[in-house]
This record gives sequence, structure tokens and C-alpha cells, in this order.
Amino acid sequence: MSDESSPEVLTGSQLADYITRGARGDEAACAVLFRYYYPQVVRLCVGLLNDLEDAEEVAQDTFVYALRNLARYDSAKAEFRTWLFMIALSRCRNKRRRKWLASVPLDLLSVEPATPARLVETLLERRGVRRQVWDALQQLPAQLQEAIVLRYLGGLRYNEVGRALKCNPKTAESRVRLGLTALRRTAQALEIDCEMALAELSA
Amino acid sequence: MINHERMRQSEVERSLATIKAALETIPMRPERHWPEVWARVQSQTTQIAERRRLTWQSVTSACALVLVLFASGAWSSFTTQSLAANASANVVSAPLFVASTTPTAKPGLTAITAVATLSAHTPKYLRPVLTPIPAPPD
Repeated sequence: MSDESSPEVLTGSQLADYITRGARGDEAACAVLFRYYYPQVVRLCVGLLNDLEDAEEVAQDTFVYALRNLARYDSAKAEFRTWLFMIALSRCRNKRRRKWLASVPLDLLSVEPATPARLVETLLERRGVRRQVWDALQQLPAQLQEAIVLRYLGGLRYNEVGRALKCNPKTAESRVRLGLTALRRTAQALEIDCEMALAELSA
Repeated sequence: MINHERMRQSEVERSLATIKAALETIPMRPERHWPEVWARVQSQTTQIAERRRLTWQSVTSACALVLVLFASGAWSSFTTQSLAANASANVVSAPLFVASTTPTAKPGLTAITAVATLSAHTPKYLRPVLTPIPAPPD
């Protein structure tokens, strides 16, 4: 059975219960964990891969591994979400590495542009997201991009970012700061907004 | 006095928050993916179980081999060290046990290592040809 309803918010004790049951092979408990965390993992992967289709594939792989290895999860070492993000991060790195090997992007070979990529763009545009910031995020060095994505798209605290990136919280904070600085420099359009904001403040 | 740097930084942070909000509107249908993910979990678990069964067969083979070696008097011709060295080089194979030349003083330990080593390798990793690695002198 896999029709157990997914709660809006998982409390610590509920989460522990689902993990314990999931580790014993309870499909319903695994389904709850999947439905609750899957969107978060996909969002993280989209931020790192800039491709919804790739992100979904990596997210699924992440859950195949995580659900099969629930017994290995140690709550003393990291929060469950951080553990999932670490698995996803590692798979995103592998995905990017494999993509670098390909000399011709497959979407160039197709007549129709890749719909998932357009979907992300559309969503960003609909929300008025500055294209420059998104593009700049994709151009950041991997270490800085991962830190920014974990912090701002994953919503992790610095100590959890550090755990996911296997560095100390101070280093994680420093990478986030460097990433923000790089984004600030790259996103030229922000200068205009900033000037406008300054004008409003001084008015 | 206005801190321009800080303002620009918070502007970037606001943009990132908007990106997050935009990504939260990605239409997700976990129910579409869940059966596929669970099927893969089940399938991989089955594969692992099958691999364990294969490994169990290799353990059985190792036990049989040990008996043969004992019966043929070739038991003392291999050592724990040479076995371990070959195992780490991933070239474990049945002929290994008679190919090494240094006698061992610990046949019991060696037997355990032989079984453990073979059980840790599925048959596809077992190599038919062996490069003997001499053990250090006792």
C-alpha cells in the first residue's frame, strides 16, 4: 500500500517514524518521504543543472539510492534533508561531468526546443526574475554555485551547507559571500535597480 | 550613510528569493514518478539479493576448494598475506592458492581469509589467470 497521505509539515518524531518504517521496507512510509522531499530535491537540482529534465532524473536517482539506504542515515550527523541534498549534490556533479564530455548538446539536434528548459525560463520570467541573476548563478564556479544554491534554494543553514559540502560552516559562509559578490558583479542590471532604490531612499 | 555594497548584496539576495519562489511553482507530480522510483528500489534490492546468492555460491566453492587443498596436501603452500595482496589487486582466483610458495603457520586464519575473500567477490570479478604475489618472509 502506498496511499498514506503526506502531511504538510513533518515533525521530527514523524520523520523519524517514517525513516524507521521506510528502512524496514514499508512502501507507504517511503512514499510519504518521497512526496514530501521530492520537490525540494528537484528545485535544488534545477538550480545546479539548469535543466528540469536532468533535475528530475537526478532527483529520482537520489531517492532510489536514499530509500534503499535509509538504514544508513544517521540523524546525529545531518538533518534528513541535508543527507538527501548531499546525495543529490553528488549526482548533480556526476551529471555535469558527463555533460562536459558531450561535444554537441542533444537539444541542438532536435527541431523543437527542449520544453523543460523553456518551462524554467517561463517560470522565472513570470515571476519577474532577473535573467541576469539566473544566468550569473549558472556561470559561477561550482564551489560557489553549490554553496549559493544550498543556502538560498535549498534553505540550509550555514552549518548544514558546510556539512553538505564537507567543509566547516565558516568556509561555507565564505563561499556564499564570495558567490554573492560574484553575482553582484556579473548581474549588470542590478546596478540600475540599486540606483533606483538609492534614489527612493534619498527622496 | 547608506551602505551601497550591502544594498547591492541584499538586492541579489532578493533576486535569489524570487528565483526560489519561481522554482516552487514548477508543476511537480510525484505520484507520476513514485511508482517508477519504488519499482527501481525493488528491482535493485532484488539484484543485490541475487548477487548475495551468487556470493554464497562462491563461498561454497571456496569451502570446497579448501577441502581439496587440505586433501591434496597443498594447503601449506599459500599464505594470508599473499592471499590478501592478491585480493586487493582484484585478481583472486582458484589457482592462486596453489601458486604461492611461502608456507604459512596459520592455516586456520588463511582458510577464513580465503572464504571471506571469495565471498566478497562475485564470480565476474574472479580472474582465471593469477599473478602470484610473494609474501614477505615471516
